[in-house]
Amino acid sequence: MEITCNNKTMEIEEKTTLSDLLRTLGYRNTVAVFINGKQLLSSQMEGYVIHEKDNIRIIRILGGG
Amino acid sequence: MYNKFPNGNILNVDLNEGKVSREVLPGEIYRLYPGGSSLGLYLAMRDMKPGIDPLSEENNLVFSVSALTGLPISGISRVNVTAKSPLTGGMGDSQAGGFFPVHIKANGLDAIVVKGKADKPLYIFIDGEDVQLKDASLIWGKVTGEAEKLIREDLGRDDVEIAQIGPGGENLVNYACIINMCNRANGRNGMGAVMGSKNLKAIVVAKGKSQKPVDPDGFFSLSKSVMQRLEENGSVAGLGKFGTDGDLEGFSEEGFLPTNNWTTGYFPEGAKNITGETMYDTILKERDTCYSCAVRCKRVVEVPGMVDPLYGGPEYETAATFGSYCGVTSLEYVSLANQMCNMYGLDTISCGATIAFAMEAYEKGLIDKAVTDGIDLRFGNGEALPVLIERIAKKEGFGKLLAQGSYRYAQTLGEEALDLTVTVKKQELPAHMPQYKPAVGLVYAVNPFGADHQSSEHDPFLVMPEDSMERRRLAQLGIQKGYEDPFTMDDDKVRFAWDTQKYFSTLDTLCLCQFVWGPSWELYGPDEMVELCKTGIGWETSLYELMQVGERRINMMRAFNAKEGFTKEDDLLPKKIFTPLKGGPTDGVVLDRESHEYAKGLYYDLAGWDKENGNPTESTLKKLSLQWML
Repeated sequence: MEITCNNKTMEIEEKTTLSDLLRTLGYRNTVAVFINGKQLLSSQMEGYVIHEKDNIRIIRILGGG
Repeated sequence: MYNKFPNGNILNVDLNEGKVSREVLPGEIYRLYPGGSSLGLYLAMRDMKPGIDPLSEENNLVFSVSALTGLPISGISRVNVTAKSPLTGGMGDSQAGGFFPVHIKANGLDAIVVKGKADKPLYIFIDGEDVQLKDASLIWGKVTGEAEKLIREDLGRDDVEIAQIGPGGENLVNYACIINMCNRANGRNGMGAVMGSKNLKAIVVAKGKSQKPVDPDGFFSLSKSVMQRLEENGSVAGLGKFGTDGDLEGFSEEGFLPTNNWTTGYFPEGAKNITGETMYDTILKERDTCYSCAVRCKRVVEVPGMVDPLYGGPEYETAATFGSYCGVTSLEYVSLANQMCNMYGLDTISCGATIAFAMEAYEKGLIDKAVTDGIDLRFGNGEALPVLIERIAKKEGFGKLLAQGSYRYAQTLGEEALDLTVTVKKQELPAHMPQYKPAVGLVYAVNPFGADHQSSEHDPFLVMPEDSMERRRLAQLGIQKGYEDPFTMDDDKVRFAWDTQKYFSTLDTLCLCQFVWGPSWELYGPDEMVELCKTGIGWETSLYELMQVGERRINMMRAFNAKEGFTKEDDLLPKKIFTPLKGGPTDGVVLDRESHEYAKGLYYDLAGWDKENGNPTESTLKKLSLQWML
């Protein structure tokens, strides 16, 4: 199915979770995620199943050190 | 049970007279300046006149720990060094971890104040009541690894911890640092040069016992939770596994890794090579730790025949300054540069950034091979790094020019060169871009001791969801507003900058590690910091008092600087930050000058500083019990 992630269109399999997507895209860092303009709570991120046409924005949280 | 705040035990060392004396700081005064930077400032400034030469015997050099140091818990072994800075010209300080800090405390001391200048090189040896000033003539000139060995041989014992300068400090390089364990640095502000100006090679402390908590049950409940906290905290666990350098490639992918002297934020050709993940997969020999700390973020790397594990491994800042700042893609050369700085006692941030500045000046034709001792100083020349570092430390040839720091050197070259510098108050910027983190950029500008990345919380944590640990902890400080991106600057962001700056200032006062203790992503949050004070030393405190401690420290530095002639005209970000970045995902990005200037004005208001000159007002100093600084 087709989704948009950080302004790029991409194809993913149905029932793909957000965790799967983050892993596939190589995000190892902490991230914030907005889906269709609304931010996911931490408690919603783990099991979130991505839907067709979801517009996903992933923001990498890069801190200090 | 009421516990009076403990007295502070101060060792005064007068190098002019060759005498040592002890002083007890009453608990009611110590509570105002309960350690670290705050205590250092109080002790250094109480009899120091404005206008002195930082490298003269009139400067006071203070090593300080805190009332909490030595308690057996993660992130608690930090030592602060304070003096007037030869790099910025204002009050300076710098912090380091390791085991040296806890053993200062184990010798019954909260601070060591060094005054005057010895007539020949010496080192101070402290073993409980026994304090000796020992001849260091044969150790002077040695790099840190050799000097450690010679000091141990001289004393005939191994159970000591050593903080020392290398040749960089001996030769008064403006950004020389102080090194312990051969790989932990009080890096910034040139504290090593101040130590060198006093002919003081090292302070050596005998190892002793840790401090016992006054409420063991409460304290151990806090300390024993550390493993679970680590398990649940991906940010700190990542730091442990990949070191502070773990995010470097991410910064480049986002377009915010300072590259080629901050002309671009994108380093696709080199970021992967020099990131913590690659280090982990290739040259990492082991993970090292500080006293009682479960995080183990310190790197130990080895490249046979090239890089010795004795000197640790590069942090993110070091990988960035010698890597991306200089366009160097080789992890081996970055690691060698790190080693050389630890051997010679130079701050890796200022050193790498100064070389990066010179590289851009060379590429732009402002300097040539006749100046650089024949070195082809183009971006990407990793082989030049070790050569230049040694010359800087020894102040030989071109190294003597670079030893001034990038700003002072640029002043000798003219306006076009000054436009290439990336400094605030003459101190080189760390590798976090204000274009990405405008609140960090604000603190870079107003911070009394120059640009510093560990003086406030970073903007991206405000993008976390409101139910995240990070945001819930920030809400405890009254910082509730979330953001959809890190770049926005508004009134609430300014308050975030000021409030978290106070918090980080408290951490530098209590000598707590900012990866373990902090206001958002760290292992222990605000509640636990208060709990630590209560269960550790019986200090009946509150977040309110602790934040005031942090605020007091910032104002002490700022008030001293005011007497040195500093004004808000010194609170300037460099031109580069307002110049469009080139290439990659952030092509054309700049920090918005108008919103930055507005933020500074609001910041002065929040801090209680005069909007005309940016300095603390009389009422602000009185509010903080700092009448004595008027």
